[in-house]
Amino acid sequence: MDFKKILFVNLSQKTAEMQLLPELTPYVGGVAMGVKLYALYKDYDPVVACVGPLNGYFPFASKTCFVVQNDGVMEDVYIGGGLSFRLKFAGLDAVVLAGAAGEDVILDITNDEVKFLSAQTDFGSLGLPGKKSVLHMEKGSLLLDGYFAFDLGIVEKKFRAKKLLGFSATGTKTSPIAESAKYMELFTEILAQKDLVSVQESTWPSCSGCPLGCDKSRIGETGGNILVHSLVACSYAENIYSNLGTVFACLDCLGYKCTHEQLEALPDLFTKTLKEIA
Amino acid sequence: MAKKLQVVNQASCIGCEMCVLECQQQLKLAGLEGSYIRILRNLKDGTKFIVSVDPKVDELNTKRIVKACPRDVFAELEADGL
Repeated sequence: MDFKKILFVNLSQKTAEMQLLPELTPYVGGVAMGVKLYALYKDYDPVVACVGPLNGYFPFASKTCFVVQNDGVMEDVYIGGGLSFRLKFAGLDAVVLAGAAGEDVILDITNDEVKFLSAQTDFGSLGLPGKKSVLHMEKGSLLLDGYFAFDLGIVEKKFRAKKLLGFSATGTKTSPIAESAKYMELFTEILAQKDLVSVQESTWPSCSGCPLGCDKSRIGETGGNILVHSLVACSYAENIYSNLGTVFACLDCLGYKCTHEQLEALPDLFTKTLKEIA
Repeated sequence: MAKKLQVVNQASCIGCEMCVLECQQQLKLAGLEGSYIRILRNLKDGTKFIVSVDPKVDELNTKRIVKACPRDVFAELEADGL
């Protein structure tokens, strides 16, 4: 596997830097990587936003994972919409929002560049059309792209503590699909399994990479299957993405050289990391 | 007669970007940059989307783009609009 690319944003100092962390490779992505990042930076009490290796490539791999500590308990909460595509195509595996700003701040993230903007900034003016997602505080709740939201209010509480009013994330990077024929075959195969996704197809706004438009898309899930959430697939697609063979084939075709054993070890790695934090 | 991709049902768009994925897959690319279709979101009303199509999209296999959309937002029309 490749190095994980982490955008470390220090809100206290208004600085941002890209970090390449090879030690995160065994964590695959999503929740497993998120708790490890929290462990690495726990002195900053960060909010960690993570995607997984399949986001932007495969159907139903459509969520973004947020890892936070709430009253001493590690929590993983998810949000749908288009954010996972934007972070992935910004070339990022995770954004670490560390520390707290001195005054209310808005972030404008484009790939690995971050602008720290005043509270008066119009969110609508940020980012590039079609290539951005905007997460902003409205009436005390965080709203993504004007529709999608978190459950429980935990992320909102952390954003308020950090004086972070929201951010826009824009991704403008592209990469060639190396094994295109194999990728397309897998993509089509997974898409054809939509009946395994435990939601009803409908006409609600959908998450990027999911054609189902279900009524569950608006509020993200909390907790769940470690493998599925390390890929940051939709938890309603657990019947597809808890299949190790499918996951291995997807990762292999995208060039991630992991083993079945590494994937099987993820839940233990996750638990071990939680113990480190405790 | 050449076929052109037309947006015939924008109000039905659910913002899933399966059309964007299809366009990019035909170009053997992953990413949003340079896609011939963009889905624009409305921060004030996240249930509404604008489907922005570059005329270059007709260089692609438009039949596959029509099929990729779960909400029949697109149709292939004859170049004269029929």
